Amino acid sequence: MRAKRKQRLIFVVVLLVGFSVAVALSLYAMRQNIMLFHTPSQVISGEVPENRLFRVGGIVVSGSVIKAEDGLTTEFGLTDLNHSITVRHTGLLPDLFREGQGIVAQGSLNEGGIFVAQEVLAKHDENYMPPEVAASLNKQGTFRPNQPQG
Amino acid sequence: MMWKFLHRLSSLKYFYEWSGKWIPWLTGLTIVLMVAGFYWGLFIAPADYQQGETYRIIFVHVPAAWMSMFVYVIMAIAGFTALIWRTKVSEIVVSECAVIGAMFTALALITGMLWGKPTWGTYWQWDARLTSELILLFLYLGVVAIHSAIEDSRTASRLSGILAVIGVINIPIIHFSVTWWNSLHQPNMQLVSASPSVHPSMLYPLLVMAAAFQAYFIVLLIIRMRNQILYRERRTNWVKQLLVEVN
Amino acid sequence: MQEITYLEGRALFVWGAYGITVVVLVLSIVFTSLRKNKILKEIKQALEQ
Repeated sequence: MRAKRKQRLIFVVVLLVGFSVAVALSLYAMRQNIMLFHTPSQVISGEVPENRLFRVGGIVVSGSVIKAEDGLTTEFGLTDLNHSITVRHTGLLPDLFREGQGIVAQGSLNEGGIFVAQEVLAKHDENYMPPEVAASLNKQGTFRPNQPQG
Repeated sequence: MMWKFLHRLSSLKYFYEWSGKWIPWLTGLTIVLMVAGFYWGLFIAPADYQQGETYRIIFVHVPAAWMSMFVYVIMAIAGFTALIWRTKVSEIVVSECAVIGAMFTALALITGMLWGKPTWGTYWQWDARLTSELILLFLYLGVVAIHSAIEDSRTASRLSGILAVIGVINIPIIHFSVTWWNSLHQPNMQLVSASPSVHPSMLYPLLVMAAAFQAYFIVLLIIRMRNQILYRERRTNWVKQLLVEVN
Repeated sequence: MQEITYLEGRALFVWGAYGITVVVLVLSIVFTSLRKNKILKEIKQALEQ
């Protein structure tokens, strides 16, 4: 009975280890596809798919948001703190869209190198606090919202 | 001492009698924690500096998501012991955890979608965190399906035990999905750190809710297990005896 | 109180999320508890036959 139990134990452990290795290898192989978005640096160095939609994520550059006269089109700079690109979007923006906020945009590059977004999603960070606390942290200068991702 | 207790607990009859005493206390504890958590989260906790009132959804979303992973770990451990030692109690834990875990996972997904629409601007994205959580739901449903498709409960337990054990690889993937890959979902909350990422006025109601969900899980698991034990042992003398005593 | 039913226009999402959670948790416990009676009845019927 003891030997049989040991046999089952080995079988289960081998199965789990083998399966884990297989999953780890496939996730590693697919890592580029699992990444939800590309960074502005990747866009500039040309590491992005051509002729199809892709996502780019980063932080909206402070002071870069320009509303066009039609009132619907917005243009803004998007940065990963190394490089930045210009994003143009026509349509509604999420509530959390603001300067200094992380966003993910889906679209493609036009001839002028401007990223024309069809959809803009706001990213959120893991910090939760009441407005007064955020305000006093801001005053002390110890507040560092929206660390760049990826 | 510990082993002796665990050994006795592995007897279905003993587990049935022992667990019955705990139900009223645990139910009371669950109700108190739930009421306190819901009231605190909805009415007392302050609004968030960025998300305003919408962030209140995290008081149900985060505990549900934590439980969806916690229950899986319990199910995988039970599946492991069921495979090696063939203990009936662990077989029952696997089949009942699958149903409860599926419920928590579905709740985490639905409340997350309701949070995502106003915050991100979308209900769903094929982001690593969201996708791995959806896979978790399918793993649970797979275990449930095995148990409902296979008549013989011992055979079903062996198959579902294997699925429960190998599926545990998905748990670290869910947890680290927001670190390993860039995603729309925000990084994990930093709760144990010098500067926690959640302000205490929001953290305490969150922890109360997490405790409430934990207590709820134990109550529901015990009630479900007792039902299952009664059904599985319906031909034994102690269950027949029980019926006589009830009437 | 008026504030909590409005919640910056997001009340539907917040109350929806809380509502679904409460309904699912409560129904789950209630149905599971009721099932015990059903099982006992079944066992009894099987015994009487």
